[in-house]
Amino acid sequence: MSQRNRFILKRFNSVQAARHWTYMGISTFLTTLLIMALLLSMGAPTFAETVPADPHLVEEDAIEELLDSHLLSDPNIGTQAADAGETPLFVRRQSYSDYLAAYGDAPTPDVDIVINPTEYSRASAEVSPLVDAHGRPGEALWTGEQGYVEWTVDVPEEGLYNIELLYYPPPGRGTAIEREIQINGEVLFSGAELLVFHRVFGDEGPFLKDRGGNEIRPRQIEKPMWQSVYLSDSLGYARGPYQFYLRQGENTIRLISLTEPMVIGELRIKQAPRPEPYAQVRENYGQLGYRPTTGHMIFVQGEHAIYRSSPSLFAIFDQGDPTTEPYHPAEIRLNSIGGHRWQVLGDWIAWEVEVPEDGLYEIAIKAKQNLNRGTFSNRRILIDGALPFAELEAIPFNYSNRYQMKRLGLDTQDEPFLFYLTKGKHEIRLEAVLGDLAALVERSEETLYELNSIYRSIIMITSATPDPMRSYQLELRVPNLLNRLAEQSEIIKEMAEELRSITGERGGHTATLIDLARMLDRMVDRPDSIPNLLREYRDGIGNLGTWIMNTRNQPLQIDYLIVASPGQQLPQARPSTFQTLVHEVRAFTTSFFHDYTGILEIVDDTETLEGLSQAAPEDTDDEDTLKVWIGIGRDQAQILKQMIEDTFTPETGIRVTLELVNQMQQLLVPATIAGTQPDVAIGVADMDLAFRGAVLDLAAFPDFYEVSQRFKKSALLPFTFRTHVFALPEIQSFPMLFYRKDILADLGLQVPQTWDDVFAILPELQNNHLEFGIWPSIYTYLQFLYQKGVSLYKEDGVAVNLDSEAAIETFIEMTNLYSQSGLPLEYNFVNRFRMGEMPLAISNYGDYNTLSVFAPELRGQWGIAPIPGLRQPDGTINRTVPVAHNVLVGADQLTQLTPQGTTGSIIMSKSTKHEEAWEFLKWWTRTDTQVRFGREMEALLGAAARYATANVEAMQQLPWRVEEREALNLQWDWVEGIPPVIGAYYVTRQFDWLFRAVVLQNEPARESVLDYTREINRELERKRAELGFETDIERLDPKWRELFWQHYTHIHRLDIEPDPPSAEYMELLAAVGIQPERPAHPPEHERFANEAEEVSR
Amino acid sequence: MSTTIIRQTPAVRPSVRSRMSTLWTEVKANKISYLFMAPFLLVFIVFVVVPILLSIGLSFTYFNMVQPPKWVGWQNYLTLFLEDEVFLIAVKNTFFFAAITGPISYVMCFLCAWLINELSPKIRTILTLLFYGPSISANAFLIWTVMFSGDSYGYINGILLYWGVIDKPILWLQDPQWMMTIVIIVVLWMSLGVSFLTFIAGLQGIDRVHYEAGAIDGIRNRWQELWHITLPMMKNHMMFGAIISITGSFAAAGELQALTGPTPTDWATWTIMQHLNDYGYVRYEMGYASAMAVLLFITMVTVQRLVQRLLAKLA
Repeated sequence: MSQRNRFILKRFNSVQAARHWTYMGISTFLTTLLIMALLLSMGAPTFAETVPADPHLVEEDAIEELLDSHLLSDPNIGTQAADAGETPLFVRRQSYSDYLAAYGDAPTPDVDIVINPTEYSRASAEVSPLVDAHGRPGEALWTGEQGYVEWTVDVPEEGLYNIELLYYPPPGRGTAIEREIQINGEVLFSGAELLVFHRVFGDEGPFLKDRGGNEIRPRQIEKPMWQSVYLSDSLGYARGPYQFYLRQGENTIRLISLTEPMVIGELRIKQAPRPEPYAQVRENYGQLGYRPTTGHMIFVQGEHAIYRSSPSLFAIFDQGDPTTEPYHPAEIRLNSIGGHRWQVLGDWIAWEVEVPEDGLYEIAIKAKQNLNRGTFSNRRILIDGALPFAELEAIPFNYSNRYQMKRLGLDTQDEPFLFYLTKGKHEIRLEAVLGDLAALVERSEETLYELNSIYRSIIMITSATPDPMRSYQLELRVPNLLNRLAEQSEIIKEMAEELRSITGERGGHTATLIDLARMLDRMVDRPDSIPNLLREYRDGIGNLGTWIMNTRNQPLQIDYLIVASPGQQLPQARPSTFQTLVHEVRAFTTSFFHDYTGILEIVDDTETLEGLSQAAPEDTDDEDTLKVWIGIGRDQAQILKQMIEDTFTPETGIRVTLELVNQMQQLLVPATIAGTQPDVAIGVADMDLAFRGAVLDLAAFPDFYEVSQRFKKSALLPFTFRTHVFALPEIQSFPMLFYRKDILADLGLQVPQTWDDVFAILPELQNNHLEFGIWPSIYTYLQFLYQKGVSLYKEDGVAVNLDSEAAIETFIEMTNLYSQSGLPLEYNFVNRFRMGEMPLAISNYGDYNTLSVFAPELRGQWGIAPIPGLRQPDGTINRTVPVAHNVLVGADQLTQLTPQGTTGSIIMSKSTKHEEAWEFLKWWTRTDTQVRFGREMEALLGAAARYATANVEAMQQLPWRVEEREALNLQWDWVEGIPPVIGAYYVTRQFDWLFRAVVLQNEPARESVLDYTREINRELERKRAELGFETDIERLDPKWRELFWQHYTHIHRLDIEPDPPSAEYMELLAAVGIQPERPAHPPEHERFANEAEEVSR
Repeated sequence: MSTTIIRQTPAVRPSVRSRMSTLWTEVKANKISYLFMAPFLLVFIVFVVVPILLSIGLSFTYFNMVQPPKWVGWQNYLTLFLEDEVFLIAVKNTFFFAAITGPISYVMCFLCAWLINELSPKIRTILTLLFYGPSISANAFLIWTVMFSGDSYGYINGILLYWGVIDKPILWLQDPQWMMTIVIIVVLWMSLGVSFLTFIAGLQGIDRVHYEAGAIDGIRNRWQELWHITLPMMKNHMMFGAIISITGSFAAAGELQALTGPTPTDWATWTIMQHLNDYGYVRYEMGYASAMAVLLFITMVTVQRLVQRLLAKLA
């Protein structure tokens, strides 16, 4: 780096900083505080300052056992961190079974201590006492989505106790409530840091039908109620509720909020009742004089469940089976519930049944488990919230691709269970549990953890692609390697054997385990083959992870339940051949007449006289309906349709036809030519149509300014050209830094905050053959460029700014990352992050959801943080990250870029209903609409489909955890857009080539930049001339130049030096002890600016 | 047939009007034949002739697909030949690509068909399916993107790294050094398509009688049999195969795009077809794209005439 370059670079930094002062003023200071707060909250529990860390806990820390000696060669790393008062990023806790084993002989005294939640001994600000809340008399305590509350209890006798909690889920973000529990200031075991309390959901109303006769699923709404639960394992491994060891005398119990508010009614310390075995219960029946009933057979349809623990557990449509009730060969009938949606442990569904007389009944369930081949799904069965007898703890449902009639009973003796029910209504609740598999899966998770850490200690020596010719002598260099491998192989073999005895089946499901064990044996037998088997080993770990995930899943689909008097013939669950034949013939015949694709109007049977949908049932194509195109899936379109019908149309009286269009981007052009264009298109990113006058300028609407306040300025920028704004943003997604807590803790590293930090830890990572992931794309380049406050384009997009000195410097820095520091040019982020090869990576925040759903074994071992930035002279960090309007994804399948962009909704200028369309756009981007759409989509498709809304308020209401939401918000403030530029497609293209020329073919960087810039500018000029815009920057109207800079948030003018910061601000900084470097104004400054321009010519 | 009747018209050159009326009388006279042709002719005219004429028309205009076209005369063609450097690269690539894949795939198809034809019917059926497989499933070539993935976990990279041939992964599909070669390999693998099936059909259509007659007339080996009997008997099939091969290699775009991405590095595998799509759908310059299409059309027709002559001589 020459002296001059360095100077210019510095100048840009100081320019950036100075502007910062003027524009952001005190908010910069606040940002600093926020960053500091975040740093604290990221690793350190909030109680750190009050409760001293238990040294015993750290000693027992499993990580340290797993660490190789050479990793610990520098013992100072850990000590220094401890001295600085930083807690490690990640601590692996002992398992619950180990914890229980340690207190194996502790007594279980029978007490019942009731704690009034309002009598807490200490609490954070986020709690408030309530009286007679939510229909329950007495006192209760509202706790927020963050903070903690602690009670002090006097226990008469030491021993193991259960804790029962009475809670009510107040309105929140619609996800399950999560709490961490600490007894006497300690998280006792793994699992205690995550207790899950379910909310209650149900159908909003009866099933409706659309004009085609299809049933429409009613909206899922919350049906909150007081519930009493024993604190228990949310992962489903522990049998029965958690037992906590309490010493004699004073104990503290602290609940720390992780997500969602919760109202606590009561806390009890007691022993949970142990259900008796059925044989005992049956004897009791005789003594109590309970008699079997006769002649009753009550059907309860699965889809009419009254309560569910999750909004995803809605009524579904099972078409393929003529025995389902109700049934129709072609039209949609909501006839069952569950399936793959009901596979998460702990999720439950409850039905209500009314029995006509007191007495004993049988229960049968018509159910289908067609997803987990080779094993079974387990359900715990609760009647009126209690377990009638021990056998109902886990009822297995075997794999079968047809429905089966499962009569609850002792299978081995063919004896149905009898249940005593009194006359009246009863609740039957089925909950997904692991049953017999619990211990097995828990052990396999430990094995997976161990295998993963062995893998990492191997690749720290061999790298992920070992040299097959080299002898690594791994058995000598990794301590205890062979013993550890052999031990795991033994454990896996035992597990396979156990699994076979539980399920009684061989094959696919156990094969994964046996294969893995065999490979481990091979490694132990011939240690020199380990490097060659590494790939297989990695696949084996991946398979084990998938195996665990599949085994943990407990899917079950239910058509109906039967409560019947004993001894009756149950209906056939399996259709006869004739029934199947009739079904197939009818389904085939109706397929010629039935419209399967249309998203039709809902016909409200309950209000036949009124309602807009009834007003004109047949004229969807008429003049006054608004035509809206949507380019996403059918499910999303269905949600939107329903939302339009129950809010938009009633509010505004505007009727809407929603059309589902694949490849909308391509179809908009021909549709516009043909005059069949929609009025509104949702999910558009392309501004080429806008430049050619096909899209309406929204800024012309009088209330545009108010509407635009819903979004960040950076979300509007991709659609803003001069004074025109062509779209309202709906999705805005941006990158975050993903990090593996466990690996960083292993290496004694902290999450990097600046690029200097990254460069400092890169050697440490690479010495251990670990990678830092960042995509070699124009967005990465822009991120570096934007962090210096430099724009990619010159004013109005006349030319590209690639050839300015700062841009060339940035480009060289970026290419050095790949050509000299050796960052990977291509990788699959999710896989490598999961395997731990890439413990740090910058990726789109949408991957957070992918990882949390598809890598459950990593729970708690990773996190997201704002991306590293450039340290400013005043001590703040500039973390600017670019977000494009056009998503490079899809365009280029090979680089597999994760979408990180903005999409918006447009109004076509040929439309005749501009006002109505604008009303629609305003409604669609409104906070409540976006929140509802996001939540319903998540309910429908799972957490992996979390909606990246561009509406700032709406995003706060989506179910992110507090910690992540804060990180996201911090990063979101630093998001900057890329303005729409005529011919922008050419920039991405040429930049990629420029990058490849320099990195792959070692072309000289500086000359290449100039060559490629010339190419780009030529195309930009050509296209601007074609569309009639100025091609010479000198001819450009000064107001457009001015506007161009005003659209940015974090980018600064290239041409004008900013004002120095105000005196008050400097005083404020001095007051808090920050000594900012004053931006220098050297006389040479003008000269360099001129020179930089000359270079660009 | 109608064509034979048209030839019988008097040799005297009549005026346009009388020629039209003669034509009309002849059409009336042979109305049954025309009726039979009508459905196909209608479809052919609407979906082939009209679009070709339209695109010839559009090639003289500036048309951005949103606003109505503007007449610009020869401007598009002038730009194409005199200003557009990338077009020349595309022409070069297209010809290079066509010159290699066209003949090789043609010969390969024929040889494979010839060999397979020698086998027993059962094995023949199986092998035909195997060879024809890649072109039935339209996106079969996508497996090559996994093979040539630039990641160190891509198959080829993985094997080469394992053998120690290379020490860091090669970005096969982004590095211009490799791109064309890989694309040609993949396209050849896919090219055993329709022409291959035609050849098999052609080979099976030849009556054994001819070979017996040939043997009596003194044919001594298989090469002579191939040259003097098989090839001439298959003239029509050969022609059909040639046309398919040529069209395929000139109009290649989809496979290239799927392999090396929509914007191959430094235009390394950029063909006329891609250039055309780029201008039409990315840059919204349909007029200019039409000019290219017209040129491509003319080129293809010319090359086909040439090949037709060549084959006529061969037989």
